[in-house]
Amino acid sequence: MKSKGANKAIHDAGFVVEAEVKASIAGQRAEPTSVDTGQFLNSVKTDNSKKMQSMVSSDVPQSLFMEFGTSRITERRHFRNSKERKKQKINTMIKEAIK
Amino acid sequence: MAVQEIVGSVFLSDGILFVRDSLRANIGDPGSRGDPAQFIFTSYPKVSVKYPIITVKDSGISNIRRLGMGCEQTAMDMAFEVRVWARNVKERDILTQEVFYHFQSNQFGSGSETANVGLHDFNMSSMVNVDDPGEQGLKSKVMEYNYLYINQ
Repeated sequence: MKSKGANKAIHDAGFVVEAEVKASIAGQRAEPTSVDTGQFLNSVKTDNSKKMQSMVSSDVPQSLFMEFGTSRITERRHFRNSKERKKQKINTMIKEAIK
Repeated sequence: MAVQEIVGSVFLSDGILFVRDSLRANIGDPGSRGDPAQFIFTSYPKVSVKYPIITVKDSGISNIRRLGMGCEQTAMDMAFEVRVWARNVKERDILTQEVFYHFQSNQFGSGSETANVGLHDFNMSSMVNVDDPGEQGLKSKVMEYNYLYINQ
């Protein structure tokens, strides 16, 4: 039963991170706003198809350049900073689930 | 090498400088420039450069916890981003391998290995290709290395 709870907590954590990434892209966090057409913002998805795993990703080509920067574009770290900001909350969610 | 031990009061700058100097001393420059300061930097250079180059940055500190009750020492996870910028895929991958192998094989010993300066528990959490658009675009690889550091 604990593994079921942990699985749900991990999948819920994916949505928490997705919301944080979207807030970051939309300019509601410290990172620069990355919305022009909204394609990047709308491409952020959470994949909960695997057990005990949740993957937040974007499949548009510019997402890589936004996240890591290039020789001409400064990095914007939407995903990595969001993960760091929510790490504590995710740890708490999982701990609560397996108590 | 300048940094012999990462000192608690200046752990961020010492950490970055140690990683940079360690790479400068051990990674050969394919551009044969003779000066490692033109090859390995601590941030993306503002002036024009000749590629390949390697940049070292800190990716933040996380999970800072006290070592125990009534104790002022802390343990923390230190992350460093090492990015290889190269002219082609082969050059990028060769340099990446050299950097990884250097960190992997330079953990324990009696000299300036990472464990001796205070960086423990070597771990590489990600390695991502980020190539500039176009055939002639720069090829880069972003690596993130994590260490456990005890701040005394």
